[in-house]
Amino acid sequence: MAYPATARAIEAQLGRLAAEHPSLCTRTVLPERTFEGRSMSYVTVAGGAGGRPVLLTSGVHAREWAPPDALLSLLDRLLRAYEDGTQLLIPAFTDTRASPDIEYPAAAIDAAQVKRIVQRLELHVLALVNPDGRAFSQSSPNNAMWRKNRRPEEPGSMCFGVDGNRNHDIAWDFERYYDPSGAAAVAATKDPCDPQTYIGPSPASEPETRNVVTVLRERRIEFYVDVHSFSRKILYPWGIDDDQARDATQTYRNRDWDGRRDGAPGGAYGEYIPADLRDEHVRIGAAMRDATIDAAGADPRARSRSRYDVEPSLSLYPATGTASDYACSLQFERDPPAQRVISYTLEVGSDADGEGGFQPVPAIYPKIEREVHLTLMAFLSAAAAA
Amino acid sequence: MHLVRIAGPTEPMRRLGEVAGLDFERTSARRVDEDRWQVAGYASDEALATLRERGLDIEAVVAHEALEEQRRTLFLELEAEAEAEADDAVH
Repeated sequence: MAYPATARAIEAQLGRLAAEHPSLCTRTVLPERTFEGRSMSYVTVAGGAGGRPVLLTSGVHAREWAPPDALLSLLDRLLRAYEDGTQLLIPAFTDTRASPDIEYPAAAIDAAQVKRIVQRLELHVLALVNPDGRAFSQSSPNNAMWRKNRRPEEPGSMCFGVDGNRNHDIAWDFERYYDPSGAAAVAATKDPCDPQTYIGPSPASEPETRNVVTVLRERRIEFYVDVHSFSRKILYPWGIDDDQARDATQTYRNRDWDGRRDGAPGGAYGEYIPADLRDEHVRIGAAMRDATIDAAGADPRARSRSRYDVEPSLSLYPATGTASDYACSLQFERDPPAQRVISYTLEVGSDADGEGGFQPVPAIYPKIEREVHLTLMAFLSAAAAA
Repeated sequence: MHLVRIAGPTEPMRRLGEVAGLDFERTSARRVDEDRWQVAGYASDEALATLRERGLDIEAVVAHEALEEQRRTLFLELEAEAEAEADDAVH
């Protein structure tokens, strides 16, 4: 499958993988079709019964072209390595656009680790959350920066699309949720004509959002990564506000705080996360980070360009309704009793070093792909060991 | 459209969402020092002018022409893929 893959090619590749590995891999068509009538599907890899449920998603933002391709090639390599009983090999890459060239050595995940991952996990991969948006983004250079889905215009509006990563049911109504300062800074809007972060007419209004929710809930996902680009970061909850582990009453569920949350680093309000849960996110995030640096070889330029930072999702701007925060929030539901959830947003690639921001050119794509594979294999290893 | 990095004090940087023609990547924000942040994004000429009026620092990362060239390369790949899909459909 050539990079960048079309929405049709991605769906075809999911079908091909399931057909080529029928004893390991099943494909499930999701219940909701997109506004343009496309079906969405995900594949499940399970080498044993009762595996820990893990979900990987990508492509909710249409213009972020590399992550869905990289998820599919990871799946392909994982399945082949398991069936052949071999290590999973990540090829060497030479960045010939740097001067002098930068060599990124080959890396390998040993066969025993591959076996543990496949046998101990129930791995679900939903590689393209927003097929309509991707098709539109790839329809013309003028549309390449399209981010949202393709929800048709609403009455009184001429504008298309909702940001699927602002549409989940967590702090969705940001004007009610934050104080005026937080509401002004939040990376979300109620303006349907905003080209970036329109939250939609209601929580989970979008078929793509509901499909993600279906997998998260029905499969009772315990480990989740939503892959995006760009900024070389491994982000853990929360994105809605600063993390804190002292005051369990400061939580998105507590309506007493509505209109008083600041959404700012170091502010009076901080979103509660139990200390052990935060520590676990930091520990696994560090393993993901170390995997890319350890595989970068001795060249300090390669090491520097392979460095991912592990941070809470909130930095300068809060974001509401994200898939990662929503997935994390499921563990705080009381009915039915909830499972523990480890949840990340992985931001691959960079604006710098010729990596192309949202759309790396084919010459640099193998570097992005290897970082997706290295970080996610570390993540899957941690999930299999949990 | 240019790929740029924008830097400045916390308060004006928290209001970047108001700038028309600026499409910044929220997660690229990083603290430069106690009251100074940097973020990467795509900006039109008009957005760049607004940012400069606000006293923010702009660092060019990829110029308009280079972005256009990168996009041309990607769309050539997509055209080749579409032709291959059409061939597959015929055979």
